[in-house]
Amino acid sequence: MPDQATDLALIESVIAGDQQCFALLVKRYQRYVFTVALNFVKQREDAEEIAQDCFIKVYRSLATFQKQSKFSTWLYTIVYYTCMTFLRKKQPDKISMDDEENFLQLENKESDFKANHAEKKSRTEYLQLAMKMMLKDDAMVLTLFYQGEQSIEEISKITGFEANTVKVKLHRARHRLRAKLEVILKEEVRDLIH
Amino acid sequence: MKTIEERLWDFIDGTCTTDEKYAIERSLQSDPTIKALYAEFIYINQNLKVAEPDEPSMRFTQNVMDKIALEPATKALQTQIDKRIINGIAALLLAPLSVLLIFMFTQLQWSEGKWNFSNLLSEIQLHKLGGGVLFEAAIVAFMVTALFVIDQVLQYRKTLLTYE
Repeated sequence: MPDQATDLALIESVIAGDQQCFALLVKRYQRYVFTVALNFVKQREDAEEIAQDCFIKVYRSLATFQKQSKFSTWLYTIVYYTCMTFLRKKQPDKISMDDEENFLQLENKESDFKANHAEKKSRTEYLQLAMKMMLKDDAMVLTLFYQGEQSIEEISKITGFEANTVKVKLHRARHRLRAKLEVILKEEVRDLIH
Repeated sequence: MKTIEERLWDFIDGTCTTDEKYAIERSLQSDPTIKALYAEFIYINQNLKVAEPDEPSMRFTQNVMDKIALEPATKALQTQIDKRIINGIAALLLAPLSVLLIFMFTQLQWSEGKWNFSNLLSEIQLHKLGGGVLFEAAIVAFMVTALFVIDQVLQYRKTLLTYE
């Protein structure tokens, strides 16, 4: 993080009237908010719209932030509910994140992968590719845990799931990620041989 | 019953008990399969930790700030919720209620055996407050206003709790 001022110090400055401090908060979290949104909606334009909407909501209600949790946890809670609202509006019949659309998305991504198989990738890139092929639910938990640096309890607070449920989801997500990674690497080896 | 994968992930996350920790450490020394699995999990864990988040467009921050420029200042939000306004509304609601209660108590016969609800209502001479219909209309208006204010306060609290 380029700016060393704490989140709380920046929030105090914004409430005191320094709007530019809010730009620092946006710069600090924009990539994480965008990535979480991208887990839900896949289209970059939609994710960007959601991310902007989230920051505006944050700005509007910044004075009501009671500092009982980390700012990032509060922010991700807003992102989570905004994404869920967006999905409900787009797909009124499909509220669950474990829906069929995810599997269709997965097939499309695999096709993209096959089309680009000649491109040499490092294992880290494969990992990122596998992440993009995952269910929304799994990708969201992994992003919040690893990139968002949220604990299981904090993810529980963000999503409203029980902490034990989050723990199970995290295990399941890592298990599926590993399985996808194996499929991708096998595919790559097979394509290189032929 | 936890699988070996779950126990290994708990070990890596540091969420296992002391007994589980020692059991895993022993398994890692004695079982090459578990050791290989552990190495694979560590690799995935490290890569997930260092994975770069996606980048939004270059103008993202500027777009947000442009939209925010059209918003009223956050500070202004605080002044909108001025405690004096809330106290004023509370005083407006409580004053007639207090007057009514004082009036009711002055009308009561405090002699023994008169304490039941029907006696209480029959004893109070509401016409002294300016006529029955007028008084009842004022009570209804008061109740409607009170319910509206309570509803607004509860909605505001709900909005705050959703995010906090």
